[in-house]
Amino acid sequence: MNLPAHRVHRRFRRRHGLSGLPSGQKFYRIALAGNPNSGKTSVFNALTGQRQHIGNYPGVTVEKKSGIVQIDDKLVEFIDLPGTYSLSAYSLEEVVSRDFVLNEKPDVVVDVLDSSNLERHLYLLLQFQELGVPIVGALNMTDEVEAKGVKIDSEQLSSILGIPFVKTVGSTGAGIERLLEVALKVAEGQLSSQKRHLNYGKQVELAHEAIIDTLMLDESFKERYSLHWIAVKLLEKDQDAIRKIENEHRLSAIVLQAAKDWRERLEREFGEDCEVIIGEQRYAYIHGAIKETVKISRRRQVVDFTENIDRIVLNRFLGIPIFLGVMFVIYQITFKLGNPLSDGVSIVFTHLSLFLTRILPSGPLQELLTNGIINGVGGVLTFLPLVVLLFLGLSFLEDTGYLSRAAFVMDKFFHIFGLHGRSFIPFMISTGCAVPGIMSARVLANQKDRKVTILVSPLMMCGAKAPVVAMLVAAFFPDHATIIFWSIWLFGWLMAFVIALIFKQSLFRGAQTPFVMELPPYRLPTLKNVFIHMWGKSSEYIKKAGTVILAASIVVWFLLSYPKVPTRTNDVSVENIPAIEYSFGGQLGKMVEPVLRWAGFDWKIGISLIAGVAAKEVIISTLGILYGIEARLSTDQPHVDFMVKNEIGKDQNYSPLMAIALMVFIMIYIPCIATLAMVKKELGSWKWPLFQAGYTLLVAFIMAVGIYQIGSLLGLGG
Amino acid sequence: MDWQVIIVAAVVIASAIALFRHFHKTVKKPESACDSCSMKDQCSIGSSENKPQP
Repeated sequence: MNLPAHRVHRRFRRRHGLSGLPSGQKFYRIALAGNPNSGKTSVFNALTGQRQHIGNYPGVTVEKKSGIVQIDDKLVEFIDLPGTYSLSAYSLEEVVSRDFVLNEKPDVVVDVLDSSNLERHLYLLLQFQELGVPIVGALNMTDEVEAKGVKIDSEQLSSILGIPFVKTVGSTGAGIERLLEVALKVAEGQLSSQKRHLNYGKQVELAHEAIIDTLMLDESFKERYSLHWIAVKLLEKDQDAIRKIENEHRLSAIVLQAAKDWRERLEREFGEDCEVIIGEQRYAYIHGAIKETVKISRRRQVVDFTENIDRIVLNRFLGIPIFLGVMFVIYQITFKLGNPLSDGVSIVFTHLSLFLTRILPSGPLQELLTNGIINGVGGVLTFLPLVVLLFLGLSFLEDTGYLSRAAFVMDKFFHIFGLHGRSFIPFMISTGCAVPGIMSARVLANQKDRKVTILVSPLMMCGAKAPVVAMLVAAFFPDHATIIFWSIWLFGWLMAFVIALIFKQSLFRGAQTPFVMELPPYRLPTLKNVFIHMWGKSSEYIKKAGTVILAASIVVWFLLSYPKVPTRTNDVSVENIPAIEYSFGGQLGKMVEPVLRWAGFDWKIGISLIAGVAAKEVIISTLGILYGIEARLSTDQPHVDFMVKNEIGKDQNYSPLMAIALMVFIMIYIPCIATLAMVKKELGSWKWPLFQAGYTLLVAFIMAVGIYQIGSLLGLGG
Repeated sequence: MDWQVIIVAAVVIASAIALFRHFHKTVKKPESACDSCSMKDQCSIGSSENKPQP
């Protein structure tokens, strides 16, 4: 499509804030659509040269993303739409995809289809075709299908459906150039992509024609939408289409009444829901098309690796124990390999601190550098190897395709607690960070399910809580680190389930909706991918330590160092206060100590927990600074042990029982500021993050006090 | 005034401002937290750095 130059300029400037296109340059918009896990993001990356994350489980793309590429004299914008199974307005991603195609009218829609699951993936393609948009089918992952002896005749498929099809392998880039060439030809009108109306059978067609007649009563409506598509949607009782009629059609009452009458008549005749009648007809058509175009070689012995593994990991009884076991193995590897590396990092900081002490005269600057920055940031960085290994393990599970299986086996468990099976995705993403975890709750169509998931997702052990728990585990349970860490991780899940159940029984009562989880084939992650993950995780952790944690450590150090106890004063009570307790931070910690004492926490833990609301890693840096200042005050020497775990483990005021209570408290209490802000953004009001902060603080406190007090009564507090 | 005190005061003030600005930005645009997430490469949901640029 050649847009007039002024429109190109306006569109481009509006979207990208740039000065405009050079004259004569053409601008096209190509939308990438497809079922979840069809390899859409890998095709998008291959087309744009971007490195969007490719998840081997459905639901990776929740929002649409775009990338612009210059091809000869053309500027092409690719829009990666969220994965959807259909264009019914059941979930947010379906609405996002559908509205984009309807309202933004891209020049071409490239529907990415998983060739190994063509029957279901063609269902979405048919709906796009009905919508009347120019469409190109990308038969993706053809390498996997052909390896199984399956041959797809793409030309034959093209002639049956009237749509160009191109075979692609998104991960290697095979066929991508051809796909781009075909898509541009369709955009420029050199290649046809037919708008086709599927014949739904005599009775349905009669109803369909009658509804179109009523729709045509409004001329302006006719110009905005494909009447054929709207008529089908009205028969399917699509709520979004009904709303469109209500809001935009002049004679909405007549149209809706006609649609209702015809729907009821068809349902009486067929004894089925209208949506089912239409869906069955689409599948029947697809089935026929596949029969004509897909050939399976009988000579080739197909050994389905995926099916064999699935027989074990999806077993009704073994599924959940296997998932828990897999996570245990990941934690075991993390601690076995990570602990020695962690000790190595602390040696680096020890030498750095000694070096700074030697070259700098004693004074506030030396104190800031050694006690504030090195103890604070260094304390957090010593956990770098553990964090990297931990998340590398999780990346591995995702890349292999195992996480989808975990979601599948957990589905029944989720339902027991009133959660939707798809809540597994936000939960699992929250084990990295609750912020994207909360955003990914958009995959839940039911708003009550979504709210509950958002409110409990931050109870997972995220990337910030993990090093804090690892520190406490290493300090108090060095011989049982893996089992304790794993138990605390599991505790986070269980708390999320229990609280979700309470919410579902009280605040968010509602029916459960069924869950369909796509099970992708198992794939072995490449070594290159593993290194990319490792580099990504290390650099981001270091970046966070060098920015937010650094700034927070400096501020915390100041609050714990000033004001100094006056050297000359008549007030005896002031004279006797230890210097650190006289500081702003010390006074704040002492203020909350009486309440926290019930859970076995002293003022140092109190101030660390308060600072941890900014970001949970700040708990480690605050404790590191506290021990650093204390050591200097008692020995007048710089603190040289940067393993906070060693210091906290030696502290006479603390016990393993207190450590358990503290880990439980940290797992539950107030989510970090970023998480609370994201909850506000997603749920549209500050009342929800405030409620979340309140309930988590209350539950954390009750749990920690309960554990500490009952443990003490049982004699476990020593 | 001792030169060390001046440097420390400047660093503390700059850090406090930077921290305030960081949290202000986080509250306004919470997905910016994704830019410094260890799982960024693992998840394309929120990070603006992951988003392709023209």
